[in-house]
Amino acid sequence: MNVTLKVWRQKGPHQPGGFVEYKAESIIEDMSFLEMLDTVNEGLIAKGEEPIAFDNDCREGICGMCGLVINGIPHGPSKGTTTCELYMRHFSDGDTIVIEPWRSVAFPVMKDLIVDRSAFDRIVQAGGYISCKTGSAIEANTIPVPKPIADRSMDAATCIGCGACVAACPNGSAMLFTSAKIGHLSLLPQGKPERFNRAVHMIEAMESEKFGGCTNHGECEAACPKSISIDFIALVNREYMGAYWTADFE
Amino acid sequence: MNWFVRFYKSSPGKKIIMAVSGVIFFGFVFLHMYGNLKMFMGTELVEGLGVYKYKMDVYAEHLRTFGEPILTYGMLLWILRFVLVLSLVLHVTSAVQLWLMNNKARPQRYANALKSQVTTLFARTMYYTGPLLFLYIVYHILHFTTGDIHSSTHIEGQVYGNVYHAFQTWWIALIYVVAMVILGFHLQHALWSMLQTLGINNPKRNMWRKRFATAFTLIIVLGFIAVPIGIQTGIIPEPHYQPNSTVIAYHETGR
Repeated sequence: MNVTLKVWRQKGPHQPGGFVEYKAESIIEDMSFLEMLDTVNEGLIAKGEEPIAFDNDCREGICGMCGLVINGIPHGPSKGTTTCELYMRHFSDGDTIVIEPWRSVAFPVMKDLIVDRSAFDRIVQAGGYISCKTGSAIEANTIPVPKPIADRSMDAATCIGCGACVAACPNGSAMLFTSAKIGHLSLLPQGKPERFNRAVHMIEAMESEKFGGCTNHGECEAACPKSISIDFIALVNREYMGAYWTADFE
Repeated sequence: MNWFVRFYKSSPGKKIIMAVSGVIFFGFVFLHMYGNLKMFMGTELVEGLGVYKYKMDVYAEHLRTFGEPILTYGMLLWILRFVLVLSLVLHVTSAVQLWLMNNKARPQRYANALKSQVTTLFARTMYYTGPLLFLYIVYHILHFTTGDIHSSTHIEGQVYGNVYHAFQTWWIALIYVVAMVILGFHLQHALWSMLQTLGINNPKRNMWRKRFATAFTLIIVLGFIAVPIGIQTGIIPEPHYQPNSTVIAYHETGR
């Protein structure tokens, strides 16, 4: 199949960018989207042109590195998948595909389609952990965790930090990411002691990165490659109110 | 008060304040709609006076005498007005600040616009329906509360007559109907959003939140627009007050 690409090209941070058109020819339907880009890049390199820069690593949907806005949808039209899990069979021969990087004040474009997502790391550093001495592993099941709670915690923990929630949000909000990172710990007994500090500090770290606020559109949930629910945003609102009701935080 | 400043500075803090004031507004518009339906209920005989009064007028007067003798005349109404104005100030201030913050979160827009996948028209128009409702509230208070707009037929205390005469003019009736449709747009997103923001969320029962929002939006909007439509279609009869009197009464027929 043959497709036309309109790719955002930008030489470096704070530089002007724009769409450049490329023809992707003789593409096999079962190629992944990234393999299609690899093919285009091989052609560009052969011609002595600068290849299209894009982030990727595991190419099996678990690392959170890849992420492109494809035809106006973060990670493309296929639900619950990352860009690397998107296949060319989701498109038709002759399609024009527009590719753009995540847009957010907190995710500056480094080059072409690559953005700097270290804002997410700083949110996690503000409280997305459990403080304890590790030592040797304790007996399994010493601390009982009800199965539904363990499942919900795991649902939140599937967040790979790709940033699609921010990219999809009309307000550029990072509430889904932050709530997943708060939620997966605060649901579990091990995470309870620091829950209120965690909620307040991580929310404040999120705000200082200049992300927008949540207005309950639900676009983040629709774009999330792990289909993490906005139920976790409500959970974090509860945690946040709990912190202020109890005043049990610093 | 340091904790309040810190709470308010964060976006969840502002949103929680918007949700709490939203709950107050929801209670208010629902009761307001209920009170308006007294327009359809005609008159009642006032024992001891031997006169009939419009139930709408009795209801309006009752809002002032409510809670006596613990409260003084008109006190409840002023308490409600204070709470509503305070809620409005907080709701609008938070909304404007959140809007400014959200606007800065994506200085470089998408060159190829984002495709909405699940958001609704109601959610996307909140930024417009909010300010429009604010303008409507100002208009509405100047019209019916203070009587400064369309004042030629306005007589203090004759609520039934004031409403009837105002909605005799088709375009005034239309303004109110359109305003209520705008209110409906705002409520459809607001009513489930306030639950979400207040953390009222249980995956097993979440389907009820949007049903609740749709049901109460319809009840409130239809309840409100029934009055201008009732007057335009003649279902609500013309008032007969005693001439040259602000007393809300008339003798004999008691229709």
